[in-house]
Amino acid sequence: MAEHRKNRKKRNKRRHYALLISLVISTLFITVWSYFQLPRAYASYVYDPVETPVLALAMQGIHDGVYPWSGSYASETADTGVPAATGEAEMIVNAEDDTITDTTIDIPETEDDQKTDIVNPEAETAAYEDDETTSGTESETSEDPVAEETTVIETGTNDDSRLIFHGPVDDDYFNDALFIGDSRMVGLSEYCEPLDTRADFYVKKALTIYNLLDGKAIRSFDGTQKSLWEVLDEKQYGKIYIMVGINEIGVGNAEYFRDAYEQVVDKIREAQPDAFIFINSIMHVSQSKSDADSLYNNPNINARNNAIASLADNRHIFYLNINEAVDDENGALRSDITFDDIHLKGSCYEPWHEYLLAHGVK
Amino acid sequence: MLFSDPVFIFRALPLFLIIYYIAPYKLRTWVLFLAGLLFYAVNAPASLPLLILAIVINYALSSGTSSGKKGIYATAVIFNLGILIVFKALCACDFTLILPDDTILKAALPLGISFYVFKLVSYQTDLYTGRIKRAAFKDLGAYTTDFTQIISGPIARFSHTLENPNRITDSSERRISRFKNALSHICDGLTYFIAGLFLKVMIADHLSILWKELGTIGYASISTPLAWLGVVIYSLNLYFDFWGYSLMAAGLGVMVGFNFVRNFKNPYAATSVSDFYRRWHITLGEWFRDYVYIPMGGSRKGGIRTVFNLFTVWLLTGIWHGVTLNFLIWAGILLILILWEKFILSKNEILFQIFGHIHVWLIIPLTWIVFAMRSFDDLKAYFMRLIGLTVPASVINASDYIRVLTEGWMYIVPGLICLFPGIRRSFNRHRFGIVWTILLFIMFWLSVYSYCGAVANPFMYMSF
Repeated sequence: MAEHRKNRKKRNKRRHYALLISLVISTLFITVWSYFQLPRAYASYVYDPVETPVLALAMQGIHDGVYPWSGSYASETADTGVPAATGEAEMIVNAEDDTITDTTIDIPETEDDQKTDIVNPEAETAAYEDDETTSGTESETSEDPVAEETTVIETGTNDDSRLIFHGPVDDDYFNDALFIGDSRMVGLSEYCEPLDTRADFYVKKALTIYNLLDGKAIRSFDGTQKSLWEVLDEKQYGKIYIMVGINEIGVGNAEYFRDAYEQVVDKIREAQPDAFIFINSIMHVSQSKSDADSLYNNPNINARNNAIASLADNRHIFYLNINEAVDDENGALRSDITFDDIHLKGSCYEPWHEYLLAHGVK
Repeated sequence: MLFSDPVFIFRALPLFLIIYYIAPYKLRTWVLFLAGLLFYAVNAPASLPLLILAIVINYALSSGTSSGKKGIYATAVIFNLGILIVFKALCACDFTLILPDDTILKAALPLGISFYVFKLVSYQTDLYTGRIKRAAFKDLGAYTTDFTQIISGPIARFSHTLENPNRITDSSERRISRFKNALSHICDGLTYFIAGLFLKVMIADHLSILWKELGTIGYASISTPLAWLGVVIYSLNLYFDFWGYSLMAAGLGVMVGFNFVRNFKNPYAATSVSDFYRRWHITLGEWFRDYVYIPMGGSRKGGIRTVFNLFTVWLLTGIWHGVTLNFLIWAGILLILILWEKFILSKNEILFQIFGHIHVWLIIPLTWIVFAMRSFDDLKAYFMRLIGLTVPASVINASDYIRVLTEGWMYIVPGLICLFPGIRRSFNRHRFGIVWTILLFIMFWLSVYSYCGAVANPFMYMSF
């Protein structure tokens, strides 16, 4: 009897330790794995060894579906040799230097010149004001292969026949429109009835440009799971509005983001040759959020907006700086129209709607 | 650095435990004390001097208190409560100080002050009444700065933590059995810690995101079903946030050899509001009971005195949570409910049972909305939406609750399930069994995954 009890006690003791031992072993395994993958599958992640244990990368990788065998962007970034973390850090510094003028264009690095600063001195002179509708400044970005097509950023009315923004339009303009975007677009669909009843919304919280490019299936407006490309195959649209970019601020740098964006826009053009594509600027966050957040801040958003603005050709692809409609005098999201410093309140989507109405293209 | 932070779980905690258990017995309390100071310094460096000052002064006064000198005991209590009141008052009136060199100093509540002040008052009182003996400086320091409790409690008593037989503080045993002993403390504490981590990270934090969505929409623009869903979401969020945190804290306490400090005991299984608050934030409730209500005479001095004593306790409870109108209204409603239960409802057993459950399941969740709303306009808008009134200049999407439900059911449903006392009973009995071990293993990694798995990891919960 005593023997029996002793055995049971022993077994219980062993059980006692089972959890701790299995946790220690799994932790070691995941840590080693993450170290191994650090320069490989997880190369594009912003990683600060002081702030996070390395195993957090594995968690993030599982979350994003980045596995060594999936060979997605991570490996592409590794190829261009831009260590994302450094790129991002430089970006933040540079962007902060320019908070007042807010006009720097980021020159993407060329393959063989990886160590140059992201902001090229020439870019300062080639800056354009995307906030002003009267200026028609040229932005010469000769090092950028795409920029050759888009040397003129036309936002003014002082040009002739190629007048760009015809607006205003009325709501029926959106009858053949498709809206693509993250939670901010979700909000537009939910709280802007004139648009919701007319246009199609392919929107999802936390949608990123990389999701779109990957053809990740999300719940589409007809209730089924579809990738963007399936949606575009089914129906021809007259206008396509996009707003993504805030969620992926932690992934890669502005140039990397722009490249993915460009690929998405190109593919949309291919699928919908007759549609006007409207790139909506990434909406700012409020000043308090911007000041307190080292990642989701307006300098970072501006850097990315500047990058994607250069995709506009003003014939098929247009850049809409919707921040004009929702910003305060400091170029941050007005604090009275947001509760969480990031999204518009339900009753405050009208300024954005009106901005879209005022900037129709025909 | 919170307990759910991977830096804490994978770096700070293991490192601390190793040092703590390797250190010679005589130094062990010092290790705890220093770890507490370090933990506090990492989280709130600016408030560290005040904490140290509080310890030094309390230590200096403690010899007088322990020899029964009333004046010194009173000084200690006034000093402790004084710093709490001063900081609460400064914050309440948004005090700002502009220095000559244009630096702006804004009054902020020092981290954990509401908790450590209460711990110190309880220490001085227990000392004065002779329930405990005067502690050495390192013991008082370790008790006050104890990193497992410094941020948000529980408000443990000195006799429950440092003065308890579980702690391995002498070298009488054989080395191997001491090692096993330490290991079994760690394993035991770990189960509580993981359960708490899961409740906090997987349930409460996700519910918190859902709750914030209501704010994002704007309380004036939510539909009535969403307003009610919000009541459920916020009540669950608050409960699991605090219970989860308390379990983590208690689990950490067990790891260093303290007794398990119980802070919640199935509150939603309560049968009345008074019963609810005997099961909710127990260490705070007991503190008010032992150091305010009973010394004032409790319920032994007649009806009017009882009402007055309860009034005092709830007024102080309201102020303790914050000197804003909503907390006072919140405490006021609870006081009225408790008086109504105690003096009227209790006369009829059937009515008491019916109303008691309505109070716990309907009225208390509504009081949490009052608790949550710092602005009176928001509070008004929310209650207008609850009863279906429309707030001017709002845009309401009648099907908004469907999106919140589709996004959130997988956190709301487990939350509701975890309200059942049976879950906790099973955990307490079988947590070293094979089923719970596997469950806890999964819960641990799910929580870690959830904490760091989101896009761009320094800001884990961000997805817009």
